[in-house]
Amino acid sequence: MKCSNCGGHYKTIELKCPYCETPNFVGKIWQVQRSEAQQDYERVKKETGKRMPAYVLNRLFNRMIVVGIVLFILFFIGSMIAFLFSDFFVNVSFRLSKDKIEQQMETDYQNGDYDSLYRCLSKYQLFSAEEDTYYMYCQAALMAQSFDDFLDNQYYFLELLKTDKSEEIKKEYLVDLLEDAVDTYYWRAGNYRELAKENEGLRQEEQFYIEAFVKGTLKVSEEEWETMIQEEYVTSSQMEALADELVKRGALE
Amino acid sequence: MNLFGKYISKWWYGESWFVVISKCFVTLLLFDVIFFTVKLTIENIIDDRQYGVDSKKQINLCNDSYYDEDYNELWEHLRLYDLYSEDYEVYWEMTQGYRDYQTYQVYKNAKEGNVSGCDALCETYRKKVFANARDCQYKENQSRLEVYCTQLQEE
Repeated sequence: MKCSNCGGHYKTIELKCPYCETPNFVGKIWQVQRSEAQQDYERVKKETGKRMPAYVLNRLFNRMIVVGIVLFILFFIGSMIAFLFSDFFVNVSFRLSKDKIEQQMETDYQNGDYDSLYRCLSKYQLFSAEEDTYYMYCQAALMAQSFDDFLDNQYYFLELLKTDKSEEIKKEYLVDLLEDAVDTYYWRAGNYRELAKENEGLRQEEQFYIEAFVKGTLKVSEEEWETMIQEEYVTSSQMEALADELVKRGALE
Repeated sequence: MNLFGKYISKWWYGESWFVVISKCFVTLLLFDVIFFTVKLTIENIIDDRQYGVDSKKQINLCNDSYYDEDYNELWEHLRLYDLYSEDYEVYWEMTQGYRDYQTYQVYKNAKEGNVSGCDALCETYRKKVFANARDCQYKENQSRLEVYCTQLQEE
């Protein structure tokens, strides 16, 4: 700029003329504004610096939440597809060879191979799907399963008697076995409560076995058995009292 | 709905430490759910492999019970894991022999306890025990099934 006093040229930001030392007001104003801008800059920098970690973490967590939600949705969709596909596949394979499967079930039923029948019904999800059509098979398979569970307990009890475990433990198991015997004798499964005519033989056979075991091996008398299988509820204390009596008769020997 | 959206938006774009901590909780929760779901799925797959029908582990477990002569445990194991393939036929034959013997014992005890109708069944299962040893398909089971026959003969 040009000095108003001596006409010399100098930079606008100078505070006075370098030749005649006349004060330069424009330069002074510039200096003040520069200082204010510098202070503003420092203040903003300080404030931003304080907020920075929160800002960065927020951005980071936002991204993680998005990734998490996407992963969850993908996993959910994948599981649903797998579930529906397996259901669909089972359904299709059953429809394709329905006659053959039904024939196999009938053979298993006639041969008394209830294990195989149960596996077939489970595999093709027929336990509740077509209840009316396969009612008798489902009932027989479930009855046999329940009976096998009873046998399992019975064998376990007989093996337990051979061990040197305390009489108390053996007696406890005896009570459980007696309760299990009554439950299995009066077997009822949710959807298959009504005994199918075709399964009457199987039911009688199982009931007779239970009766023979309870009377012969556990030494339960005719009267006690009648009380046990009454429709009325037999309490645990009654069972324990019976077990005590049976122990005296040598049921644990 | 708009109000809810507004709050969500405020929360999403917020920069305070309170928002950071709440997001941290949400993230942890979300990844916890994903982690445990994936973990359970993987564990199931591993279990299926380990205890699958074809796994060597199953054969070993069956062998343990078989050599301990714990046929009840063996039968329970075979049923529990649906082990019905050819590899397990030898165990099924043995457990069937064991079950027939136990059934015979039940009817014999019942017969001795004067429970009516047990005579014929007792005889049927007695014959079955002998037939099992006679018609045995696996050599490994022969001597084990014969033990039951010997016990019947001694009675």
